[in-house]
Amino acid sequence: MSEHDLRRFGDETAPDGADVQHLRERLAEQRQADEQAAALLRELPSPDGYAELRVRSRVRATLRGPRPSRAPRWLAAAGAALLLIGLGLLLREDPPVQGTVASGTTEPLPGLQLAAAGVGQLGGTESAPRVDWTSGTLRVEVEPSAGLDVEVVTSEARVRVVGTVFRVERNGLGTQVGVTRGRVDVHCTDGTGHELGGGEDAICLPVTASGLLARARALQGLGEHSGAVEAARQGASKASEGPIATELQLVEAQALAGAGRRDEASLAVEQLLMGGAAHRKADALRLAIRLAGSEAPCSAIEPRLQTLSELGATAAELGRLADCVAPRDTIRARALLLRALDSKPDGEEKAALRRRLRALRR
Amino acid sequence: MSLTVDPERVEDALDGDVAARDAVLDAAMPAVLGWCTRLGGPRVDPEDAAHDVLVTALRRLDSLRDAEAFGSWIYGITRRTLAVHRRRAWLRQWVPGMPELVDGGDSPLRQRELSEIARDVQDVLEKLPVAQREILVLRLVEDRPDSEVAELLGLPIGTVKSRLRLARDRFRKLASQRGLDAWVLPATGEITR
Repeated sequence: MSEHDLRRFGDETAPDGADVQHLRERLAEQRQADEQAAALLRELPSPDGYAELRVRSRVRATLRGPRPSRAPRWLAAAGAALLLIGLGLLLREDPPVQGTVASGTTEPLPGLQLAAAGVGQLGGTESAPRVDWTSGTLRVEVEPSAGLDVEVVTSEARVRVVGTVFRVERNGLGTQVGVTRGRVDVHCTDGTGHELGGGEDAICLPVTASGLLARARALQGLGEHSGAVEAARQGASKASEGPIATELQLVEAQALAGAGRRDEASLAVEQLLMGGAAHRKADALRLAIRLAGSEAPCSAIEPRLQTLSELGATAAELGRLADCVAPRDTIRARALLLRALDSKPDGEEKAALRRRLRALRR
Repeated sequence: MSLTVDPERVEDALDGDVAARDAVLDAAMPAVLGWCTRLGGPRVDPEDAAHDVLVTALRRLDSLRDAEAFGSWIYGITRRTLAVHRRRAWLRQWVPGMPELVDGGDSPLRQRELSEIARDVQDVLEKLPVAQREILVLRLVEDRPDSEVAELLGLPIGTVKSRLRLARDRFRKLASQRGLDAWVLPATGEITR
């Protein structure tokens, strides 16, 4: 390439003045941006003059001490697994609890308070205690934070609760559950269920013949004769024979009489007497006599009074039998009245018996 | 401020020479402490982190294959240690009972009053990715040349330059959003109140 060509090449490739200026401006902008950023960044905290000394002495002290052992990772993993298994076993272990719940206030487990007026048995585990409540009133208070799963079980009901205050009363009527605070789930043995909140209550009825007999008697005692009849009939359906069946038939008849259902009562007592009435024959006979009425003719009641006198009649019953016998056998009537007087009747009745005895002598 | 160490001193330190170990420690100390202070963020105690870095480095000197690469080797340890400390600091705020390290905490360094602008700059820096954060500190705060930054980070120089440009632009944008540009006089690059 000649010198001329070189000069021409140089002229042709020489940068334009404007381009150079533009490039310079861009470089200056970039430098300025760097400076601005650097100026701000230099405000970042920096170590103080003694930091190096402090760190150096700490490093030296650390290096003088024993070097921490580095266990293999698999060992650490195995240790962690064992720890988890142990923790799981520990958590799974739930010691059993056992004891008698007698009248009084006790705290058999932290977070569980029992106020009892009756008899029961404590069982289950420490995290899931169970009270088998036999009779009486039991007030249960479970702290929600205690994490207890408490169960109260009676013949009629199963009450499960996590944190609340409630009362379980078991008597002749059944098991009554009343909730003071919180919610409880009540599962009755008869298959019914109740979800109770604060202030609500429910009753679980007995399901066995003996339980229904107790309920019928309790209702009878409360003057709720219709309910007693129903309970007795339910009980009778579960006990076709035996002493409980006899009792249920008698209670039914008595309750019918109490409810004023005289004809049904008479029919029930006749059925009972036809069946023999076993140990409750005297009561059945009395009821039959009572149902016949005070004005009933002797022909209707005398045989029953006679049977009753053999079983152990009262002074009044003996006197009434004497009245029936007297027209045809005064000696036997007098003997009956003397027997009545021997049974130590009260003053008024005694006086009446004496008057009748004197009349027969005449 | 190039980070170098005499290979013979490394050998001596490995043989149990305390003086040689101290020489290595002294060589690394200023840089490590500076990195931990500027890159740890507000929740990491820089002296704790620097202590851990240096102890790890001195105990694992045998893993240093090439004494010439001491700088990038110890920077790698610092980067990993800071990541651990940052994770711990993050966890500390969620674990009950663990005292959270905040500015003005136990560390004497933290007890030093940070200026308001320093806190703001630190907050802005925390918003950047680690890669951009470290390149800004190494390049603009510590004034290390591109080649040394490239060596420390194990990156090509071109990558360092492009990453620096991105980091600087992002930093300036975030600083501007925070109102920090008002502190800077463009003509002189000085900071005024």
